[in-house]
Amino acid sequence: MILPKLAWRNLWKNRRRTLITMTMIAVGFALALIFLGIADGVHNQMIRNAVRLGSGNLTVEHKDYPDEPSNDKLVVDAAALRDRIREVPGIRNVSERIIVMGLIYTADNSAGVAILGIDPASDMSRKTLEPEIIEGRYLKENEKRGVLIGADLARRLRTSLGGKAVVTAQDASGQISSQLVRVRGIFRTGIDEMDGYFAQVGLPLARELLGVSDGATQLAVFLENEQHQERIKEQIEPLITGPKATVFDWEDVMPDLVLFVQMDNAGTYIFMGIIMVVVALGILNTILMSVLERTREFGLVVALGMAPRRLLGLVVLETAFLSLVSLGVGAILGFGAHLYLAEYGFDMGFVTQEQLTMAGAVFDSVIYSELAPARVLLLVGIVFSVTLLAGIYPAIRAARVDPVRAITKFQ
Amino acid sequence: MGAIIRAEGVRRIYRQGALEVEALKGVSLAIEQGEFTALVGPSGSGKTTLLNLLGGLDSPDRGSIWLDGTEVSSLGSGELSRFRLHHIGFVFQAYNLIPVLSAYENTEFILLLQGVPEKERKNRALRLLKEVGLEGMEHRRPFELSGGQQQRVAVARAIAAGPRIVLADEPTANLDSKTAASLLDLMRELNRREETTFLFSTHDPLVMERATRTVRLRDGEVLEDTAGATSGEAAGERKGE
Repeated sequence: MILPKLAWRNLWKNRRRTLITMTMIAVGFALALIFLGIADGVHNQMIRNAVRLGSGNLTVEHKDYPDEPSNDKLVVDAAALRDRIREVPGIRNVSERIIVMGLIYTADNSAGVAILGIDPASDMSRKTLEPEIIEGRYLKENEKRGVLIGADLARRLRTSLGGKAVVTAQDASGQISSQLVRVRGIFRTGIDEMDGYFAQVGLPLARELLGVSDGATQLAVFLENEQHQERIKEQIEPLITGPKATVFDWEDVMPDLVLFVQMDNAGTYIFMGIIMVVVALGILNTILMSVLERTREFGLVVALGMAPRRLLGLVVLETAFLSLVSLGVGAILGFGAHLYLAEYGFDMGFVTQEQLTMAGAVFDSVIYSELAPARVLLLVGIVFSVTLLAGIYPAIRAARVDPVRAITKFQ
Repeated sequence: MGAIIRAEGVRRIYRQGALEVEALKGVSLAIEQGEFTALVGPSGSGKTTLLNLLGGLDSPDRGSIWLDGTEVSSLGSGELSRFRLHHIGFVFQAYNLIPVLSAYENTEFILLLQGVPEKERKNRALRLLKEVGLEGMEHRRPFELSGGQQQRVAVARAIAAGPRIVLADEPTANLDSKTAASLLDLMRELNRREETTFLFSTHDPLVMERATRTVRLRDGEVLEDTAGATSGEAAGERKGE
């Protein structure tokens, strides 16, 4: 076929202009990839942190708990259900938890607090919380009266490591119950809600506080692979035999985080949109210039008998080649940067010395790039389509050439 | 024998705003197959306009044009484009070649558009390039060829598909007289051997000397036509003017 050969050679007729345009598209695409990778990396890190500290990728709870949390809305027969869910393939861990909304007070002060009862040996929140301990240690297995509190809460209670406190809450039957605890560790996560209003105790103590022998507020289900969330959710649903329990996605449990990610994505798309507009204008400029310069040549080939639609195809093909080569180079640059940032990360420490929090979730100062294949394919599709669209007007102009005018005018 | 090119009462009006310029005022002309005809006349006489109309590059406002038995003046642009591809060879004044293609690729261009198989394309293009004296230069791009060599490639391309009509618009305008003479001799030879009909618009006496017929235009009308006279007589008439 003559068209691909002609298109390819035409592209390199003005080598410098083509190279400049290609550089622009390639750098634009590479930047878009890097930006997308970092944005997805931040989101995924936040989600993972939130999921780990919070209620898992999937959460089994009383069906009314997310809307009206209260101490009596429990998943009955939680231990047996936990064991059944652990049998489902793809499950990393199932943490049985009791969440009690109550009060904590010392001799000097008191504060409202969310008390989380966990199994210290197996709970996934340990991975996130233990490294943040600034004084003392994490809870030990079977430790009856130990409590872990945030640094802000400790300051407000005017207590310190080894200090005594009392936790009080309404039990499942509506009676007030209290338990004596001792501060075994103080942590600082950087999340205000965690550091100021959160206490972690062992599961048995939390059960005593609620006056129940079994049952849990939630079973936090952690997955090996986040991509399988929907499939595993469907597998867990039939395992739930209790009348009022149901399984929620993390998105249901943490709507604020979903909203934040959506808002941030919107910002990312606006940034990408600006890059795309710049890229489109660059292509339009290059192809239109190249078409206008070749008016006589186009008039000549039409005079010789080339159908105008083939001429249109020629210019579209030139645009497609320009776009494909640029995307290839951009992909090498972008993926190279992505691989580096996925391995070594991008340290935001120069902006902030501390961990950053957004929508109640924490993200580390070192950000690791993550690129989902579907997002990359979408981006490639968008850039390719935008470049082709930018080539359409010049192609139509080329196809409308009047051979007589073109030849005589440029004779 | 029926005329291979026939124009009847052809008028062509150009409009520039409110201004109307009648470039051709009812030209009638019949050219037989195998003629080597020169359309001559001063600038603005209408020769290029007539050549464009006869080549199916433009459509008349009035009158009709028949080429090789087809009334081209009634064809749409797509049909005209196909007709040109299969029936007419063109040689223009300058910048005739596609700059990114080699001499060989330029020569086979029409054959490619026609869908001629590769082997046949190659044989014909190489044979023609040899015939026009460009053997060994097949892979040169236009910028690596002299003006005369470029026009030779254009001639090779024009006749590659074996058209019965070749239209040439001032093909020697940018060439020195020696190169022009050699190019014209080449075309005359092809005209004699292949019976290809050549129609030139020209100012060049070298073309007129070789033409078997001269059609003289002035102000959009045929002033003189040497149809039936020999080229010598035509040349003699010119000298006597």
